[in-house]
Amino acid sequence: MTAPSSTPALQQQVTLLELVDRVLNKGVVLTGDVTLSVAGVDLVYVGLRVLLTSVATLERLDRESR
Amino acid sequence: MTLHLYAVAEHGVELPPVDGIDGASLRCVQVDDLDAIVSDVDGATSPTEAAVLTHAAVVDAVAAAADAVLPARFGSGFEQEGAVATEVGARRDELLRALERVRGCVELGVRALVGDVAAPEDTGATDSGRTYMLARLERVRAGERLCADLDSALAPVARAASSSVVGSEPLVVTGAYLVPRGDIDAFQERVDDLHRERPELTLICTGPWPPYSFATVDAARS
Repeated sequence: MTAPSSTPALQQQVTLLELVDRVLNKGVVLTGDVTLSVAGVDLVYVGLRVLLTSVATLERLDRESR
Repeated sequence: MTLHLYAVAEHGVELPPVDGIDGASLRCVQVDDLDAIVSDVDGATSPTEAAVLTHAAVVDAVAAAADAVLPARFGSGFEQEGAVATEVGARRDELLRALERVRGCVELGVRALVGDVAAPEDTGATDSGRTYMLARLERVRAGERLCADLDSALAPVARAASSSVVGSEPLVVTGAYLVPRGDIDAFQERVDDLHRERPELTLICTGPWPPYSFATVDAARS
């Protein structure tokens, strides 16, 4: 699905971000399966913050190009 | 050896021809009328990029072949098969209700970005604390308004909706909508309408996803 205002690059970045967010933060949790190592999660989120920043940048570029 | 859980589905779910994390084969742990889809891993699973993408790919493949699937959140794994069976069994009713809730539906994501919402002005030293707090308050309210706007536009074509503010500079709101497979086009039309009405928004749709956001405990209980 694409919305009228999104560039392919922005779409792709956001899709990846939303995917990681779903896999790590949503979905059913059964007791006994929740102890993700803090270090591991932090690593993923450092990556996500970088991604979020690039989304903001892309969003600006996207608007400037219109 | 550890078991990594990907999803819970009704018993008889077709296992897709894809590999699990580290190339391991998928299998089902049956608990009465439910199947937990798992694979064996060495030690605890850690959320590396490859493991997260594999988890997502397995859930996608399972969801493509079944009418009702509950994606599992990426976890550290179960030490033994008995633990999976015990946990699934203990929450059987809740899981069955959640499966009914998502049956025949996909999840669609909408991310809305707005730049320059109430950017704090540099007012110098005088009164800057108060100005700063008011600007922050305005950001929070702008986020809440945007969530409400998204939901009022899109929730009518969804069986369930959930939206939240994920960033303030720029203001970013993310919404998840549980939509019957047949209504995906209608949903997209609503998004297009919303964009026509609110051209200042950058709207990005993602999906269809398996219903991750509607497989949580709270969603199943509401």
